[in-house]
Amino acid sequence: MHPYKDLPPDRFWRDGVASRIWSEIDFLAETKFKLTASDRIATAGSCFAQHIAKNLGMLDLTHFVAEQPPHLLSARRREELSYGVFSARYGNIYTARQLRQLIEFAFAQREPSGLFAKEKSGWFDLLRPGVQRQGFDTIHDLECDRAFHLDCVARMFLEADCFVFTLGLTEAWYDAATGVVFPVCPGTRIGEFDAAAHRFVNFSFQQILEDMQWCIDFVGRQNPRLKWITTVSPVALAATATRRHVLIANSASKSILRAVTDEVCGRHASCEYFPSYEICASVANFGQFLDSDLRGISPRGVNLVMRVFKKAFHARQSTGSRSAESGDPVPIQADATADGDALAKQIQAAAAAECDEIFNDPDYAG
Amino acid sequence: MNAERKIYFLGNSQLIASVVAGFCPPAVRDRCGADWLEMRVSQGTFTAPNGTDIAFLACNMNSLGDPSYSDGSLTYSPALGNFLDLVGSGASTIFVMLRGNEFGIVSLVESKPGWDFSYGGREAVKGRQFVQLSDVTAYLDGVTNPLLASCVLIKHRFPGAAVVHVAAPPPVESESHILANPEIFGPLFEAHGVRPFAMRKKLYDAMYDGLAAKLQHFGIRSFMAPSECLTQAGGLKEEFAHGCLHGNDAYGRSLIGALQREFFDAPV
Repeated sequence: MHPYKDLPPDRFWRDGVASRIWSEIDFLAETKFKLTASDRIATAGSCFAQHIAKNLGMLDLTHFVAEQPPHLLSARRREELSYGVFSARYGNIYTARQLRQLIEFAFAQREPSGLFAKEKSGWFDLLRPGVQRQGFDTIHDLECDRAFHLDCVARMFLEADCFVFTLGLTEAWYDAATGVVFPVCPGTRIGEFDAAAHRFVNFSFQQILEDMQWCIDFVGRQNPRLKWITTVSPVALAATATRRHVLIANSASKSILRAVTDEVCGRHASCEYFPSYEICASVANFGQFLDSDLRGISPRGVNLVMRVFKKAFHARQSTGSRSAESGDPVPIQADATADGDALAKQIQAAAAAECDEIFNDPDYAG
Repeated sequence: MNAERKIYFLGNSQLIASVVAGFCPPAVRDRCGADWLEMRVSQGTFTAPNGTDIAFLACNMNSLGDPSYSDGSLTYSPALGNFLDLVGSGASTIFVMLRGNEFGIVSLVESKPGWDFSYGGREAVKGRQFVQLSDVTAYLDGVTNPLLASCVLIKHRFPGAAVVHVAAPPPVESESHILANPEIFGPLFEAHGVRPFAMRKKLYDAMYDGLAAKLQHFGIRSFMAPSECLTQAGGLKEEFAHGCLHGNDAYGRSLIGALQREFFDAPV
């Protein structure tokens, strides 16, 4: 008798991976909590997080959109103005520091940022470069929009039951005077790069862990019932500002982010890890979910991620839970979801997630 | 004086509540009210203070359908065509007071969350949901399209006539007056409240400025509320208001006085 003798098959590489069809692997057999259609699920994170946000409805779960569009906007304009992409119009949040400062702004823990850029079409908020693509007519308009947005962010954290956060990057650029971190380097998408004002940082494990810890603790004091699902984006870095090859930098970044999520989820009973990174980026899947650029994730990959998400967290679909709240587990076949086809079609249609980070690559950005 | 002119007023409730109420005997007003309820067309005449005889055609707006104008193409109901057939040949000036309820429908009741925009130097209020002016304009263009289409159709049907769009009165400034005269909006006011006057006025200005610019393109003038009916902030004084949306008989008299100075007193 030894400790490995009675372990379930998924603890062994041969039974858990090598002998399985990838889509049938039970990536997350047990979770600390389950979700139901009545739970308000807030979302944020890197571009990959958009897939989760867009597809929650198809999983019979509720994407909590705290910042709803005004009724007078057409469907096309709502989309252009990024309503519903995430729970509020913060755009992509790539780093833990970005999430932390968003919470600080929303709960008045920090002075509002004055980091704007004037372009031909109007004024842009450097902290949300993509949410108002034509820009604002005046700084006052921008500030009004941002003030309302931050109110919605605060309400989102106060009223959500679950917050799904996808960590994307360790690298970031920040404003030297204020320490405020940008989602993308100024000058790549909007604004102008100023070497004296804009500094590069590659956050360490410890820094990211502290930021995540701060976020969970602070929000937990405002909303003690909030559960967290953390993920790591499987989408590779578009570019690195370090002096290493982008593939090596990507490996370091993802490893650090993955390690932080493990640490955070180990510390908090309210925090669960969801393995979208492993599902899509593990070498054992032969790269079958990569787009042709070997960076983005194909609709097939997103489809599988969402099916695993549903199986893992949906109270009616789950195979098991470490909590007692879901009752008897109901096993399902990984490929046998009744709504699989419809889900796949909708996910395919929604697969084009916007990624500002791609603008770091000048050849792509043109 | 100016007896050879054939002047027509075409309108719905705005015409009946103000001009007809201000110039026609009670029996005519009552008949117009009954016709409005029964979806019939009312026809009549009244005489302006300077002696000009004016014909009017009034009906319930809902009986005319919602015309539309898009890319040079007009769509309208047979009922609207029949209504316009009642305008006699040789009309020299047609004052259009059709519709005009668009503003009330989009502006009176507060939304949740309350939204705002910046217009004409009046900045959006922080704390309300901000909407870009271009989006507001696009929205208002849709709201006023049936009114634009009505005026363009009239200009098309009566090429020899001067067509003047008489805008609905601006929002009543007094919120207490609105709440005391809620008309059909009572339950909505109870549930959502009245939108702040500054926002209502901003919406009114954006709506009618945009419409006036489009109408001008078709050679149609716009005529706004007489200044004597307005508060310092540009709202409708409550003594000129009928209910929460319309001008009253005093407003009608003031309006005709202003139109007379601008149009009827001019030499032929």
